[in-house]
Amino acid sequence: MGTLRKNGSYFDNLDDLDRQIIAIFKANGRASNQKIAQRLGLSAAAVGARVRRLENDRLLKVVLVTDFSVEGCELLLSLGINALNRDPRIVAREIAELPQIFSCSLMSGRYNIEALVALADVDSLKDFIERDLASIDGIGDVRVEIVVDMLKYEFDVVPFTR
Amino acid sequence: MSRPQIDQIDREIIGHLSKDARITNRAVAEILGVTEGTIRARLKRLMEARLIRFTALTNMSRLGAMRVLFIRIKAELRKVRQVADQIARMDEIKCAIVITGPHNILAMGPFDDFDNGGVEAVTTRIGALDGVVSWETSITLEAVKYNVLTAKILNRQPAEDEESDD
Repeated sequence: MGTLRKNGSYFDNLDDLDRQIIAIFKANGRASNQKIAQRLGLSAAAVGARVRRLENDRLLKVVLVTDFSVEGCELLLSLGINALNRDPRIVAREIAELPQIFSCSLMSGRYNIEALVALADVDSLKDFIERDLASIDGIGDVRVEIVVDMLKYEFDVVPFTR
Repeated sequence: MSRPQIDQIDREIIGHLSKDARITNRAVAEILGVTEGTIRARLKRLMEARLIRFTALTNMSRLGAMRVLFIRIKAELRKVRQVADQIARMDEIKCAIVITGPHNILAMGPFDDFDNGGVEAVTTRIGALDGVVSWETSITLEAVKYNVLTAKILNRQPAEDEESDD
């Protein structure tokens, strides 16, 4: 394993075998330790130990990703929000707690806060805007963009602090 | 987005594997009181229908914060689809959606503090695409809520007869 440099990027913490294991999991998250071991010429126990280390160091997480359609969300919105007379970090946290909010970030740029919203259908829009979003103090202006078509949405990296 | 054919057992299988993607088919079968073959067959069908995908998430950076660049693009209306397709094919871009409003396309790409000019390069490439009129960028300062477990699954994952064994 490479040394953990103080300012090292993610990949400095991995050696070649780690990278190969990660590549196998990226292609097939159901790969067994046995199968990986056969491909890399290691023992299954050695693969298991590496996988545990990578997971404990939060360098790897094998997950099941589900498609948007499984949730049955018919309407996706992108919101741009400016906080008014209130700390945008607090406003963003309160927005993030709404169950319809899929992702929420504090931003540099024209808006303080960007959020993606997944709604079951058009009928849920009124309640979301007038009841849920409006219950939060300190929301100045809101820009609502409707998602017409999603061509790609597949993030495979996660922020280190969660 | 049309509603897919998913029944209660599918949902329970997805629920258990969402909590821990490496539990064995046998373990899921025991919890749900069905056969291992049922789990295998249903996972195969769900994967082939591009409803689920097993993959690996990685961290970009141990110490530097991960950021996401948002690029909003205004494109000539008749070229929106063509521009969006080209953006979606860029490896650095993880999200490409067509939207209503002053801009036609929203693209996102994650990067870290050791980026070395990748953000500039991708923005320049998008700006140079035929049909792009203007664009606007913004960058996340902090991800407050971040969901990577729901996605638009583009590529069908081959269902192999293998599973986790630890």
